[in-house]
Order: sequence, then C-alpha cells, then structure tokens
Amino acid sequence: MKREGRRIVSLLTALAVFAGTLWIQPAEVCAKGTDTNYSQVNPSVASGARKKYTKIKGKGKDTVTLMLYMIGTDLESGSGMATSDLNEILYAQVDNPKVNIYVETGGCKRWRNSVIESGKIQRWEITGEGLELDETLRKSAMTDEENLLDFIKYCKNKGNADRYMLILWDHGGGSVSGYGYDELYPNGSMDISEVASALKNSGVKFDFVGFDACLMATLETGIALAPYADYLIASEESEPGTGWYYTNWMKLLDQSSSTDTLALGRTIIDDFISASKKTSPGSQTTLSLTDLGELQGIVEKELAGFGLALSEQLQSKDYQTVAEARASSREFSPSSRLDQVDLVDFCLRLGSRKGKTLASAVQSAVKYNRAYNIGNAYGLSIYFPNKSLRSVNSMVQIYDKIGIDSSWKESVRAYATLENSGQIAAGSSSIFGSGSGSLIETLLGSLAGGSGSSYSSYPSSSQGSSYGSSYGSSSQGSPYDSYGSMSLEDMISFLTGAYGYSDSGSSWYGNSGNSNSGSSWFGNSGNSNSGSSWLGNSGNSNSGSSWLGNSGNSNSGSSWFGNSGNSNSGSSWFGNSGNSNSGSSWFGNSGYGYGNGYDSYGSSYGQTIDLLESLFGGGSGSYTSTDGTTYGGVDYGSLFGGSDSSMAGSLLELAAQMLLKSPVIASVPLEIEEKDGERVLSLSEDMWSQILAADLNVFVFDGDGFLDLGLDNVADYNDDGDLIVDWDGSWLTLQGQPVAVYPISDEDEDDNGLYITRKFIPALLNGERVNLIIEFNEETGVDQVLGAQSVTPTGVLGKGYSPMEPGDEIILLCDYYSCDGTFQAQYTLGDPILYPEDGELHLANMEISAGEDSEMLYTYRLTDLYQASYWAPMTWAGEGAEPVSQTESEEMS
Amino acid sequence: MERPHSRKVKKEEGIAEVRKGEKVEGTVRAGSGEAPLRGALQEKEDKDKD
Repeated sequence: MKREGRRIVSLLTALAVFAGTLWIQPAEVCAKGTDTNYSQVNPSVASGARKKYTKIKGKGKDTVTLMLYMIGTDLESGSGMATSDLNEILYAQVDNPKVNIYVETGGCKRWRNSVIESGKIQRWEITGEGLELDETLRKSAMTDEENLLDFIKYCKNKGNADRYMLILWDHGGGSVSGYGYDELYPNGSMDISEVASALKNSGVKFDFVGFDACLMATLETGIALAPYADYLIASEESEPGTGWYYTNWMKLLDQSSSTDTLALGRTIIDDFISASKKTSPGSQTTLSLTDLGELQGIVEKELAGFGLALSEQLQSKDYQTVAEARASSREFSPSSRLDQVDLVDFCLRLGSRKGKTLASAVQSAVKYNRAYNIGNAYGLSIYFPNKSLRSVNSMVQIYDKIGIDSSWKESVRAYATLENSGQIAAGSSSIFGSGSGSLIETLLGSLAGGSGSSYSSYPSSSQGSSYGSSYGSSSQGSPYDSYGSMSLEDMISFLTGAYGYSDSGSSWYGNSGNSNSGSSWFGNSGNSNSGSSWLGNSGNSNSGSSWLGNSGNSNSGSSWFGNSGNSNSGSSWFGNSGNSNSGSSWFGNSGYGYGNGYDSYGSSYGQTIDLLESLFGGGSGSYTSTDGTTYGGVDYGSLFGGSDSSMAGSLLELAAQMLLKSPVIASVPLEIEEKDGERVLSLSEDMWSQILAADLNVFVFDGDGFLDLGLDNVADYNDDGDLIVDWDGSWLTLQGQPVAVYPISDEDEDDNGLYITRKFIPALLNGERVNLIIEFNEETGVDQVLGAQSVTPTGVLGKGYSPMEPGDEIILLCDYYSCDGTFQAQYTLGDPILYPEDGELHLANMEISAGEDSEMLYTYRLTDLYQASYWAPMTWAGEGAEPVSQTESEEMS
Repeated sequence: MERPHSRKVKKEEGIAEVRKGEKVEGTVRAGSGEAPLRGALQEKEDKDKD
C-alpha cells in the first residue's frame, strides 16, 4: 500500500485558498414562484413507511463507511471540480477512527492535481492526514455497474459498519439518461436500474445515497433505490459545477459518527445552496433529502392511484387539461428536453383528488428541501413526456426494470400516444381538409430533438398549393436525409419500442427471409407472410410493407419512400404505386390504381382511425371499435409494446375521437388577412385554446443565404384576439448588438400573470461554445444575463451557469442557411463584446437593419398542446409587408 | 380570450445593424430554421407554378 499522505498535504495547501473562499455560512435564499424552501427538517415519519435499515446507536458509537464514487470526467479535466471537492473533504481533517472514507477516482483524462493519476482508476482512503492510495485498478468504464458494485464490495470488505453512505459524483441525466459520464469511455451512462442493481448485488443497505450530480432527484430514482437505502440526497435541477460543499458536514461526522442523517442532510443541502449562490449566482439550484422508507411504503401506492386517475382523465378525452398542467409545471433543465417536471407541482396543477393525495405524500417524504432562484420545486421530479417523445420507450423499459407501478406506466404511455396522435393529425388533417400538411413530415419533425421546431411547419407555409406539385417535389432526392439523423433516430426509437422487436423472425441490419411474421430493419424481408422491411425490400409478401425501399408483388404491400408495385392494395409514400387495385400514392404517382389516397379520405372518425393505422400499421391484425366498425392492418398489441390489443385499440379510438372533438390547428389554413388596416392571423377561440406559444421568428437574407436570428415570444393581438402580423423591426440586442435568441422557458410561477422568461443566446466565450442564459423577469422588472452554460461539441449542456468576469470576450453566433434552406454553419455576428467591469450586460430591443444588399424576413411560430409547431407565411420586412411568395423574391431562388 | 404570453419588451432608441462575420467551424447549431425557410421556399415554388 503506497502512502500518499505527505503529497496530499501539499495538495491541501495548494488548494486551501480555493476552499477558503467557500467557507459557508447559511445564507438567505430567494425563490420565485411557490417557495419550497424548508425552514427546518421534518423529523416525523408517516404511518405506513417502511422501517429504516440503518439503526443509529448514538453517542458516537456508530461506525461509518462513506463511499465516494468519483467519475472525474470533464468536470475535473476542464475545471478541477473533483480536486476541489476532495480538497473540501481534506480540509475537514476527519480523524475520527469510527469514520472511514473511501474514494474511487477515474473516468478522467487529466486530473488537475499531482496526486491522482490520469487515465486510471484508483482507490483511496481519506484520513486526517490526507489521501492514501490503496490500489490502482485496470482501466474500465466507471459507468459500468460492475465497477460500482466492485467498489461497494471493496468498501464493505474493509470492515463492517453501522452506517453506510454512498455518494455518486459526476454528471447526471435524470431518470431518462441516468448517472455518470466517463471521459475515457464516453459511450453510455449507468441508468438508474443499473445503479439499483449494483446496490442490490452488493448486499449493503445504505443510510443514504447521494448524487452529487445533476437532475437525479426523481421519483424513479427514489423508487429504484428505495429497497436498498433509507434516504436519497439529490437535486431536481442541474447542479452548478462546484457541486456539494463537503467540509462542514464532514466535520459534523467527525465530531460524532452518530450525527443524525437528517442533520447531515440539512447541512449538505444548506451548504450546497450557499456555495452555489456564491459561485454560480445565476443558476437555479435545488437539493432535497427524501425518506425512501416513506417513498417505498406510501408514495408508490399513491402513485398507482394517481396513474389510474390520470388514465381515466385521458380516456374521458380530457387531454387538454393534462397537457396544460404538464406544460405549466415546473420543468427542470428544459433546454435538455429531458421532460422532468416537479411531481408535486404537476399534481397540484392537475387538481385532481388523487393528485393532491400524491402531492401530500411526496411532501411528507421529502424531509428537507432548498431551492434557489427557482420556485415550485418541491424536491422530487418525475418523467412526463411533453417536448420530446423519443425517451418514452426507454423509460417504459426502465419502469419495468425498477418495478414502477403498471398503472403509472400505462398513463404515461397513453399520454404519449395521444400527444403523438395529435402531432400526426396535425400534419394529416390538412391533407383531409385544407390542403396543407404532411404526415411523414410531422412524424419526423415532431419526434425530433432540436430547438422546438418541427417540419409540421410545412403545412402552414404550403397552404393552397396542389398536392401533386408540393408533395411531388418534396419526394425528390433523399427525403430522409433532409430530416437529419436525429429525426430518423427519434422516429426509429419511438417506433421500435412501439412495435416491439422481440417477435420471432425479426432482423436488425440483416435479412429476415421466409418467416411468418418477419420484419427486417435495414435489410430484406422476403417471402414473408406479414413481412415488413425498413430501409430495404419486402418482396413477395402477403402483407408486406417497406420503408425506404421496395415492396413488390405483395397483396397488401405498402412502401414508404419507395415503390410498391404489383400489389392488390398497395400504397406508396414518396414513390410510385403501380398496377395496384386500390393503390394510393402519397407525394408521388399512383399509376393504374383505382383510387388516389388523398381524394378518398375525408375528415371523419373512421378515416382518422385509418390515418393512425396507416402511420403505425403495416403489420397484421384488426381492431373493432365500439361502433362495430372493424379496422384492419394494424397490430395494435405490438404497436403499444404489449399484448393488450383492446387497450391499444381503445387508445387509438380515443385519439381519433379526441382529435375530431378538437380539430388540430393544421386543419385550418394559416392565412394572413387584412383587417381594419392591419395584417392579422385570425383563428377560432377553440384553436387559440390549443396554442401554448407564439414566437416571432426573424431571418436576414444576405443574397447568398439566411441568417437565423431565432425566436422571441413577442406578439401583439388586436381587440378581436387576432395575431397582428406586422413586425416593427425591433429585435433583441446585447450591448447594442443584435443577437440570435432562442426560448428555454416561459413561466408564470405564481399564477399572477407575471412571467419569468428564460432564453439563450449562442456565443463563444473566450473561444468556447456557450449559451448565454438570459432572463426577463416581469416580477422584478429586471432583464439580465444570468451566466454562460457550456455546450460540448456533441451538444451536451454543461452543469449550471458559469459567471463571467470582466475582460471575458463574448462573440455572438448565429445559424446560417443556404438559399434552399439547408443549414450551413454558424457565423459570428457583429463585433466581439468584452464583459464589462461593472458586470452589467445590457439587454434591450432596438430597431435593427440588415445592411446593404440584405433584407429581413419574419414569420410567427405557433406551438400547440401536442408540441407541434406551425409557421405563418413568411413576410418580407419593410415595404408592402406582403407574404414572401407574393413579392418579387427572385433572390430566394 | 386567452392568448399565449408575450414578453414585455423594453425598446430603446437607435439602430443596430445585423452584420454577418466569419464562419465558425465545429460549433453546435442553436436552432432549426429549415422548417420555416423551406416552407416559404415551397410556397414560393407553388405560387410560381400557379
């Protein structure tokens, strides 16, 4: 065993200054919205809670084993955050013989101290003298649950303890993405079921498990860990990079190894909030202490009841109430689109009896909670899809692994299905009705990530055009390429889960020939009875369908992006459907067919079902609705990932009924009209009730392409409630320079009509890609730059918002598109800005000009309850202010 | 008659010019402007055909 105590003293000395600046005194914490800060710990334990595993003997008689699993990653290599936290522990000089502290370090390219070896996994013991190296391990991914399990066993084997504590240090991605990112093994993280599995297999019951990581205070995390731990200490929101402050609570433990867990938790939380306030004052920070015994014994049962009630609410066609509650609930890291909302806030906004009961149970289980710069954060979040559906299937799988109640799982699945149905219909109903829209575009767009945009924009901007010309031209080239990898990935992610891929005769990246129910992805599915093929061929099948390929010689073959020849009831999307009896063709030619698809569809209940079938279907099976109508062609059971086809069928029927009850916005043309001398966009109240956001979207055309200045929720309405489409030419500026700006969140936290709006400005900060986070606060009247959030080359957002310092160089960025609307690159915008000495970056709207040989265009983006987006016709700014297609705009072509 | 929230704008005097600078390689794009642009281009194309 190599002793490193002397060397660590030098580390301590070198970093003492840093630690000294964080010597913590509890500070007043301000919160907006509903103040969820606890003034004191709630020591009571509700009846029905599971008994604690850990029995504290008291009077300092307890032995403690504290395990710190520290994946350093870029937090250390970039900023030395792990070294800083280790120094905070060393600063406490814990020399209580009953307190044993073990650390595993690794997952980092470069440790910013002279003790810990980069690129290796090492195990240490921290004593009052310093950090002692115990062993160096072979390289492996620290995000592997086996590695965590081995570390826990290692600590356990050091000797039995009365209290075991585990802290998982690194990035966190919540219930969806899990814990940990290893810089040396960058593929993947440890999902919460894997964390739970490691704990289970260790056989250790923990006093508490803490996540010094972002976004891990979720109900799902609590449920996963409750069988193995008494308390969870974690954050609902992203944590600033500095993370927890360790010195004070370590001292408490040093003073008495029997210090109550609630007292330790309170100190951890108070110090974290205070430190974050100093180091990252613009960040929204949260940390909570949850009694997992109560969560396991009570909250889980109430969740089941809530899930049932929610499903019933959805089945009673009350999607809108749920969607509005979801949209207005406190969301965490909204720009990451993880779809985690505060559970209590969501329950209370829904207002149902079961919701209130669950909220009460959660509030009881959360024993201490602090929140800074953020309201309506009660201590535990939950995944509930809204902005993105791409994680629904992976979450359902995690639900199964951690044993979450099935009624909750079904309610999430039902909501996602209805939301997606709305998105689908957003594109489709226009095909039925007004003459705009695209099913596949909507599917691809609505499932995409990105910044809240989707290709359902096409409907509004291609209104009035003939199907043949608009969709025919859309189908040229490589359609799927144009949607970007994320879109296709999301689509596949959603649909693979929906279909389920455990059926016999399925093949990924290969061939599935001669099977009865064969399906093939990226390959061929020949000679099958109900074969389907993605990106390949499905020949000679009875009910074969092919995506992005050919489906020849089939009885009921359908083809997406390809040809469907010689079929009896063949349909083709983006391609040809020749020689079929009832062939239909979307976006292409339907030669010799008896019917053209869009002509034969009307906006009726059965046809809406048909539409949903046509999107999800291609398999086998049928569904009989409550009115006795049988709809064929869809394997509903596999569609919804289960075997309950009647339930799934009911959901589709429900979706159809719901959409017909409240037609989506795409069913009407978005036309600009003249009204009392103003250009306005007029919609019915029913339509407006479905619209959650309206954003002005401005572009600058420089002769070669378009600069995108982004989206700002600036809109005016006339007395009739029509959107006035008449931009005054002003746009947001920073230090007098126009910026590109994009929305993050827009919240009326107190329900008092005063909003707090957060947006980001893309920029380079001292050469590093960041998003400047800005806030418009109607409560305080202050508009300000909160800080800079790092953005990695892969788009991962950094922890918290880093403050800037005088002299820092800010270079504004904007996206640039070619004349055909293809993204080209980012360009700098204006002149570099030096962060001023007074720390005040000035935000204001000013009139903007495009300069010589440039013109400006604008439109409005409307986002509805289904998270589908629509754009009004584009308008040239300035003279005439006519929609772009009605002007002399040869430059664009 | 509820409408989506519109933030309160603080407008100041003066004109700020939008000036495109240098191309920046390897950065992460901020938005997704294809949708409205392509929609507008498609609309124009359709109108031209009409």
